[in-house]
Amino acid sequence: MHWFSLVFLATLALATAARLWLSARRSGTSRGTATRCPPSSPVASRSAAHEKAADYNVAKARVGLIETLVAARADACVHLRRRIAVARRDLGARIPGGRLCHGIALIVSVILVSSAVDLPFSLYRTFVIEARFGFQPHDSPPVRPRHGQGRGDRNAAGNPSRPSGAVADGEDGRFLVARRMGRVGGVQPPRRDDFPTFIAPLFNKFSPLEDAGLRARIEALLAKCGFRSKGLFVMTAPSVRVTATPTSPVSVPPSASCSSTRWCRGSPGGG
Amino acid sequence: MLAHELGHFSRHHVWKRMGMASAVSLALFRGPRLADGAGLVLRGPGGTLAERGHSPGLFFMIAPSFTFLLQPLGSLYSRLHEFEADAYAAQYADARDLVRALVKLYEDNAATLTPDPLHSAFYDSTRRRRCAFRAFSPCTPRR
Repeated sequence: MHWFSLVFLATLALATAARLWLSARRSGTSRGTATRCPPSSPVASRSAAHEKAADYNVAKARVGLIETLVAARADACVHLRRRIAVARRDLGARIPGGRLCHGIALIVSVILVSSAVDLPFSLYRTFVIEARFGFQPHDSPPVRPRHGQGRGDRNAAGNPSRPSGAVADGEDGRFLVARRMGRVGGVQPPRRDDFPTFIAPLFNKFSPLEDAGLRARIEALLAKCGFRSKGLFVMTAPSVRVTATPTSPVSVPPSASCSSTRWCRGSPGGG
Repeated sequence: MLAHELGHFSRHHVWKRMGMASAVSLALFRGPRLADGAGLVLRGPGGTLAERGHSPGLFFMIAPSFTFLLQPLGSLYSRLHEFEADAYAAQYADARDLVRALVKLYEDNAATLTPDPLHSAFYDSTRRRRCAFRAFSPCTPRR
């Protein structure tokens, strides 16, 4: 076996062991502190929420452990010669065309196999675990959950933010499924800037924000920060209609679009 | 929360991250040549498996195993941006509103206030919540 193959195997083993160890630590910490909400926090009195978070993290960690092992085995199998050799031979026999077509088909097939390993776990997390804990695929969180964990934790071992790939920005369940399917094939649908501008209007209805008081507060903040908006809109999913809550502490009603590109496309200092 | 997001925009975090990602990607293009030379993904029992031009695609499929150990650095870089955005938000909005927003996110997302420190340092792209609560407590001077 070549030295690079050994390096690859060693790195894969190290990364897998690190993931498992971190997941176990996370799970253990969540379980151990489930009944002890930190007294210094402003939510100290809401122990029920703390316990729910701990249970949620532990449940996701269990799935994450299995996914880590399955993904590691798939990586090792797919990328170490034999499986690629078999795929190459089969594809060469079935697909007409020259080397280029065979090469593209080979890469696409490897991506499909790798992504197909992740999809069942991702769907299970979204439609089973999150449903069990009260999340629904069509729920629209009030704001984009930026105060969360990085998306790199694909095993989501106690991911404290909105779950990986979960609904954000008011997208409805159909787009969520599309995003999930998009992962099969290595395609990541656009998220930050393209979503509110191009994708969201396909699935949602935008209407001008009518709450004058809220609009004034938002525009005042924008002006204070040196931005200007081209309009404030409420994004409503076709299957979910959530009424606005003007008393929301974050100045954004639950049904309002948090598509910052619509709000803040003006250049800084332009207000 | 809006002020926080405006902070990212104002501090040009998107451009910075795109630049960083581009630089890392360019550096990783060295990888396929290593793999090519080693025959990791290009050769099999029957001989040559893929053309030389396919090696980048195949290599980038195994790259996550190598880049995983660099993830804490990426998380640290992301946290720095989050700190800057938080500071920006605290400058232009009421810090108590920030705390209330964090509490709401905590409850809506079933987030834990007691993460494992090591796991948090490795994965979290934002500061730990208790730190954020303390940082934005009303008695803390605004930055």
